Amino acid sequence: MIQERIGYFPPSLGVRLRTSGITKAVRSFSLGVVSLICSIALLAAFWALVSALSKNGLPGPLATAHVFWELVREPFYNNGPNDKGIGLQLILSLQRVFTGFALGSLVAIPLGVLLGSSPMARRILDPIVQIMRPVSPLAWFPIGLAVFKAAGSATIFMIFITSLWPTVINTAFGVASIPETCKNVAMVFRFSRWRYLTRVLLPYSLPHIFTGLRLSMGVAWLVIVAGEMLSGGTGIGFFVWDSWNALSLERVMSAVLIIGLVGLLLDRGFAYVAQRLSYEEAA
Amino acid sequence: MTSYLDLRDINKTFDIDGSTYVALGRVNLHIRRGEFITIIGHSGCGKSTLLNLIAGLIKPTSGSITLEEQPVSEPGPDRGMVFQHHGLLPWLSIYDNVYQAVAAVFPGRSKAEKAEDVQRVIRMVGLWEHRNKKPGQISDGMKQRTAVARAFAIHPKVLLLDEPFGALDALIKPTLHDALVELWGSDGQSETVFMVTHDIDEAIYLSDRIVVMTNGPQATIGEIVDVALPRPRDKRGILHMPEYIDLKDHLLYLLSTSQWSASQIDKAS
Repeated sequence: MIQERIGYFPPSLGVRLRTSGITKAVRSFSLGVVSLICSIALLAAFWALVSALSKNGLPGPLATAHVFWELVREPFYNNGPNDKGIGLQLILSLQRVFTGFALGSLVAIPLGVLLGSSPMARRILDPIVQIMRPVSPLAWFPIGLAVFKAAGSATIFMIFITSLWPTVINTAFGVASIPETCKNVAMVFRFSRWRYLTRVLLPYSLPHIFTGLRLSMGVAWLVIVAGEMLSGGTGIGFFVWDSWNALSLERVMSAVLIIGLVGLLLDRGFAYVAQRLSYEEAA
Repeated sequence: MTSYLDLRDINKTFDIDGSTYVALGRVNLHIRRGEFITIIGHSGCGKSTLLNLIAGLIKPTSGSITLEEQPVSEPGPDRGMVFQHHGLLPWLSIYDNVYQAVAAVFPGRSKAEKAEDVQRVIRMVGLWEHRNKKPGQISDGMKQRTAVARAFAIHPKVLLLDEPFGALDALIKPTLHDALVELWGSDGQSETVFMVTHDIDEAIYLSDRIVVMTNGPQATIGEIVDVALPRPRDKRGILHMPEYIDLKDHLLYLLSTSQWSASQIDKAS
């Protein structure tokens, strides 16, 4: 037996590093809080300035905060089709986004794997992807309406199309960049197709796939607001449009804030999962 | 009559940007069963190309390779391989890296049999306590030991080693040489080993025969040198044997003169 001689780490040193790590964490946390307060203050100041310049055409932060509180205090009330709480609208929007996004991912990941692993598939499918990708998601809405004959399904279809491209492209990139050594290992040790897929291809590409999913989710969330403005009925996008028609700009501003915060949470959630899934790169 | 592992009139050319590069020309090599054979030569002399040909990862332009009289045409588990940079899958633990190879090569075996084999080789390279670590968490030496264990775990007829210790520092190399020798002799029947290296001392310490390549293009076998040192070899003991000193001298001479013009050496380095 050979004993490993390198990589020995004195335990005392480890402990000291850990305590200094905690102090460091506390310091970076308090720094984070301070800078967050600063950026909120900056945003509020700028907002107040624009509001004053528009002679209160745009409601200021204080007026908005009041309406915001009203909205958030009772988020789930339901007084019929044209009067729902903001929480309900948000849930309806999220449902559409996740349905479209999930369907899109189910198509996009296998498609990306195919594009990344077969040069022939890439030659045939790449032009299609390149042509469809730059099309504004909103342009798909009438097509969805024509096919599904329902605004709700058309909205989901729009989200579906939107969430395809970033995932397809990132997955294909990840799969195409699998190192030659990994492929050779699979060949030398006679990995079956399934073993190659689950033990080499997917683990290697997973960080890339998640980058794609995260971008897809970001775009889907951008698009849902516009989509619901077109489709009407329910959802946070409809809420914005409805509030504008009711000339309640405080409600519009509140909704904008909520849309931003939810988008941020979605993005951070994906970033967190992606980080958990990424492996340590071997030197 | 062909030998155990037989290379006959191997030529290998590559097409690079429309022009043809002759990497290997008329290589003939006959390897006996259980032999430890080392290929040595300057970088760019086609050593690794030769090894990849035997592995079946690339095909010769002309000529034939046979193992036990069966033609070699694609990669297979009868030829285990240790890659230049370990080639471990970074998302799998040490244990899983070995286990996946064993499971892929012997799908018919029971779980217990596979687990037993995996445990045996990981213990032999002294990494059992580290079995749950990922490659990114262990040293380069440990990674290469895992790669050696993985190659042995599938009981190959031929073990192919592509500069396996080239990236390691001189202090850790001897323990890996010993691990290799130990595994080589551990199977009851010795495996046939084909190793590529540019370390003369390593070649002498491990090999039965050393194949010295001429420089490319159109590299071929310059000379085959027998290593008559008795086994088991003592790493420090052999350093002072006259045979060792003569051998090293001869190899240094072969690698530095006659067949290689200064311009070619410039190109290679």
